[in-house]
Amino acid sequence: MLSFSLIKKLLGRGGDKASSQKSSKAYDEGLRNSNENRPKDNDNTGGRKLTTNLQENEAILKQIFSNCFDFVIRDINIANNPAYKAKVMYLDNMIPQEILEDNVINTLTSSPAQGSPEPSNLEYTMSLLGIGFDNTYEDVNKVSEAITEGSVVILINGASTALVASMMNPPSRAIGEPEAEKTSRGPRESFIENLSVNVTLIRKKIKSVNLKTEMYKLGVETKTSVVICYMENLTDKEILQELKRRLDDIKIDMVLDANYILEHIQDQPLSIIPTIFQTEKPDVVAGKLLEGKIAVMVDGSPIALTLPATFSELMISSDDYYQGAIVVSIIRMARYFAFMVSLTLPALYVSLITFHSELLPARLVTTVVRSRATVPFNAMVESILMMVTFNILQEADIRIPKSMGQAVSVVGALVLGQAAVSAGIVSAPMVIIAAFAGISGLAIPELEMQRALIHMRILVLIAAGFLGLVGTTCAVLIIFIYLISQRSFGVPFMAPFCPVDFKAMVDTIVRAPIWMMKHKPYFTKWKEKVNRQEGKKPKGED
Amino acid sequence: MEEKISSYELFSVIFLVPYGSAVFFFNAAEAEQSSWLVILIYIIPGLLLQYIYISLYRNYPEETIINWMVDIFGRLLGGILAILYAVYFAYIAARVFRDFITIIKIVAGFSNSVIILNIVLLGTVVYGVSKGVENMCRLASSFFLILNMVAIILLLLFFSTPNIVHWHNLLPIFPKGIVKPVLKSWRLVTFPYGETIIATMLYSKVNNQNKIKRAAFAAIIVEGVMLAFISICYIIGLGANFASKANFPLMGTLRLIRIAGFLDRMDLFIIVILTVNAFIKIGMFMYCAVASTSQILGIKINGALVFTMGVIISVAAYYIAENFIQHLYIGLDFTPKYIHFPMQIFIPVLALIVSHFKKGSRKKKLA
Amino acid sequence: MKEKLKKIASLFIIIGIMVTTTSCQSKVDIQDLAIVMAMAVDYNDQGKYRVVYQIFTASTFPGGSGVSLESSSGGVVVPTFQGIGGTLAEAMHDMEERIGKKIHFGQIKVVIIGQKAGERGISPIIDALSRLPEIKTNVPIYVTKGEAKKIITQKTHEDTITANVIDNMVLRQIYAGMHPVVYLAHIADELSSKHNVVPVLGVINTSEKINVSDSSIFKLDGMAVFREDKLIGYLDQKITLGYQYIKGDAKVFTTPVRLRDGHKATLRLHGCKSKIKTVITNGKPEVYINLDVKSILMDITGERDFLKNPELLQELESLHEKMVKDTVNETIRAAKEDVKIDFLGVGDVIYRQHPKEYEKIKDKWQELFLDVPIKVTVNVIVKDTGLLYKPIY
Repeated sequence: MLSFSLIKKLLGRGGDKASSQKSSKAYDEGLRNSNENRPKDNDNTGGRKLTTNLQENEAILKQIFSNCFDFVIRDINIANNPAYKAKVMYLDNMIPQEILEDNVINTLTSSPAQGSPEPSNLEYTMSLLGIGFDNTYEDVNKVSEAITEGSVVILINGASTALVASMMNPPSRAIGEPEAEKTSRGPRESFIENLSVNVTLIRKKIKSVNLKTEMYKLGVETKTSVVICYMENLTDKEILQELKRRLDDIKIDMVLDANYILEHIQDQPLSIIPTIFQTEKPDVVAGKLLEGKIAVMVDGSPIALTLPATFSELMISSDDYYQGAIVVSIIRMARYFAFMVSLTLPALYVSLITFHSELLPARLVTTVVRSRATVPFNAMVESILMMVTFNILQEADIRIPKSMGQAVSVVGALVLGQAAVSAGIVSAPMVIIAAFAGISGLAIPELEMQRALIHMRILVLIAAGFLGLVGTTCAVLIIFIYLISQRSFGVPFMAPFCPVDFKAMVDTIVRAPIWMMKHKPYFTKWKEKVNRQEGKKPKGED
Repeated sequence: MEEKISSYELFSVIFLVPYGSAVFFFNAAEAEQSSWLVILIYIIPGLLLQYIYISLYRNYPEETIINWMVDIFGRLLGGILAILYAVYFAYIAARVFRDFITIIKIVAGFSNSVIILNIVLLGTVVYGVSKGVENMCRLASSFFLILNMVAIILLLLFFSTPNIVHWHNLLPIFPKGIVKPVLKSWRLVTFPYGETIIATMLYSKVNNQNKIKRAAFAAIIVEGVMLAFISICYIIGLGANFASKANFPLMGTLRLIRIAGFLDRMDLFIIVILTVNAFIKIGMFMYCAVASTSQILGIKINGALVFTMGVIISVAAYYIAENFIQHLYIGLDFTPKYIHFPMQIFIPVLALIVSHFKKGSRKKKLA
Repeated sequence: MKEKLKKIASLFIIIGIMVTTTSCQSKVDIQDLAIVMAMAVDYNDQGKYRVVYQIFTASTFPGGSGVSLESSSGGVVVPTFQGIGGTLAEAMHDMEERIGKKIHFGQIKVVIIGQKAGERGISPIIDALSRLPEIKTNVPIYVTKGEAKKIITQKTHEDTITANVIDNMVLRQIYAGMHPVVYLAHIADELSSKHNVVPVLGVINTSEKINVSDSSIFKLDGMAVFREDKLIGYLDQKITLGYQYIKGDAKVFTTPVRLRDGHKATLRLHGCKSKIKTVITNGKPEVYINLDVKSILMDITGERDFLKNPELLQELESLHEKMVKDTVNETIRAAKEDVKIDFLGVGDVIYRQHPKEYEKIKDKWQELFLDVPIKVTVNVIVKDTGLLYKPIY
């Protein structure tokens, strides 16, 4: 039943080439079919050009934008001369009305000043609005793209080129406090969904000409702008090349969030812990940029990605840099301790009780035996029950409307726990252990880490239930090997713990005082092969 | 994909692999209360052994022991020797696997369900090896630090517990003279020092070739010192008589610790360290077996190969001995004499001599 | 699709194997174990070993012993069980089916050997105990006069678990040093040594109540001496003190002294270092024991001003020295004349200091010992006098 190729697949390496090719082929077929069956849209008008006739152009564009109520066409007379007709087209609500009226409509329709070129010339309009030749298009595709992106398009009678003025100001929310990365000291700005605002927030922090921002447009339908930021003098060229190569490889319909990009460019597409760091705060991104890392920001997402990432970054909160060094070092060590505790405490408890009761201190034995006397389950089942309950409570807590908020979580936990102990269904120490493990997990700053921790905890617990301490150790070993083998753009994920590098540890478990830290890009030393292996590309790409 | 390990990782692997099982036993038991001195004395042959291996490596850089055999002895004889070494590594892996399964069974108290223990331990090792030797060595190097910290804590606790430390157990030193106990303990060369033969498969992977000698020698010295120190602890805690009769003196010694009435059983540390040691040791030997096989057969290391080797090793572990006593007897008597001695000492020395002659004759030809 | 099914199926098979063959079925949760707290070994008239356990196990009756946390959680009970068998190991496992739960030796706190069992030989007991994988090597082993069963089944006023009371007493003794506390590891080592180390174990007895106002239950009462592995005699408190002095384990206890002018004072020992030197001349060993003792003054009456005349302390010191010397000499006499065996460990010291000579006299050591001159010198320093420097009256 367990065939050889199946075993290979289970181990995740070197699968049967033929079969994998077959499956991807099938997927490609399906994709192409669905492409063909989609209703034809604007893209099929490739290569069409505008004509010099204003009415024809208007008709073309009206047909392209049929059934769009927010597509506005306005007729104006340039220089207030009815001989020079023009049409202004845009998507309503993308353009601030006042600016449109004052700067475009009024300037165009006012009488020409002295010494300006003839209104019949294209140059007249261009010079009035300050539009260069780069922003004139003949291709209908490009014009409609410009309109969907929020620019104002001006068609002039007799000219076969359209003028594009970009003045979009789509509605967006104000800059607020970060939701998931609360700090008590330190700046509290967080990114919003508007890409230019986000980049500006970074530029506010790093006022240097070395800060480069390159733009990509990804996503066939969404045409989302993606910006790569990096410091030219600090960043590693190889990693930058590789990142650009992977971004170019992305062929996808929609990019709605940073995570869509993240899953494409990761080294290990299916890993539990993302090997790319996500953050909401511009000061964090600025710090990482100055360490030589690269930031990727996606329009429409308040999350910025930084790469390459290492494990120690997941255990650091931005608050750490805004308080004293020694205090912060102790807090960080407590965080690592909380990580280990959260991972292994239920498993340790279960294995001690079930398999190795001789290891318990004598007085504890009395307490434990007394509390477990009426419990109907065995230890492993009981602890899984408690942990699942705790996780469900956690999930429910996120979605509770604010009016009920505090009461349900606290009261629910207390009452549930107390009632269960009174009824003799679970034992009191088990409730304490499960709650403590859950809360220690919450001490870890990064959300992804917390989520991953929940699953790893259950794995270790099951191993402990079957094999006691030996099982716990084996499960923890498997998790460590898994973490050690992760790579983030060629950089080993567990650096600087794993290729042990003491100099770089100044910012991991302890935090050296700011005057002692040199923000060198350490990771270039540990970098190995940056190019992703063939077998690890996300499947299903054309 | 070329895998590289740093010299520090080489150091920790050379240290941890023999240390992994040696720490649980009372080594050099024939010398009784002077066993720690004997262990220290035998550091020198251990260093010599490493020197032989490294000299062989210097003659054939970037290659492992499999290739040395073929280069030195020619295709036919060298091929046979290479296969022998591959089988040898697998055999040691099976022995060590059997060792650890038995120890875990006794220490952690599993009476039935050995199958599950086999599967889980084997599964962990296969998973680790299939992720590549780089990652295993990294784990070993991190574990080295953790091991040291735990050892220091345990030592502190051991010496602070009242009523258990009896220094006079160490006397008299060498009551019957020094020569006889030292000679009787010749097995020390093969275990633990001889198990560093795995290093021969790793030399080619070190990224800083100049530091190989330093790392290997440092590892042997540190290992000797630590094992000697552990022996001292056994003797002063349990007494040389009881320690040589007990199957697991480490457990007995650590169980003596009792501080403030509650810091009682340190078995927790033992079982965790036991499992991790098992993982590293079996993993490294399995890696050597897999790597030798892949070099001989010319196939790349992939998950299927590792899994197959794992299955072979676990099946072999089941059949090599009927019970623990027979296993111990084979391990203490038959194996060092007829298997370890030739493979670890005799053949490499022979290879070194032959390669010298070869090089000498080559020089003559050039001249 | 087929491959996915295969993957899932194999996963289920693995889980199935794990669940069915897992130790989950044979491993018992802690509340279903019968945890042995104390063990008493006796040898009865029918020539069989009788082992009595004090067991600690869960019960679903609430509030079994002590205060229970919740009204409907269970309690614990502390029953005793007895097993009989021809050999010790047989006796140890005889009652398994009657208890109905799995016996667990991991938390055992004390092992008590009865008089008859001791006289028969303790090596089978120590051997059986040392082989148990879960035994703690620091279990204290005690002997008692009469039957060991009495000690275990004795009810105490402070804890239903007698073993806890004994455990506390033992812990205290480690810091007080009045009686030897011998662990399993030590007695195993002594029994398996080839150099005539004489095993010695502490003795615990039930104490006779003096009157109603004394709640003591147990008394640590001297020590027991063994030849080879058989019990040959009990030694009382005073001789045990001397033994502890020689071993250097005496830590804290009080000694009254009578002063020259008839007043009494009490000195409390605060640490004793013992150095034993052996010299062998012409094949005959001579032993010199030197004790360094620190003591503090507990009470004193009479006119003395220690601050003005520090040499008055000397008087106390010399008196204390004399008392200690007497005690130790008494012990040596008891070893030579009463039990006629070297339980002081002198032979062991000679072995460690002069191994070659000891080899020659090893076989006749026990007879030689009776004539070996042992000189004791004691050096006492009174470290402090408490909070007062002058007597109250």
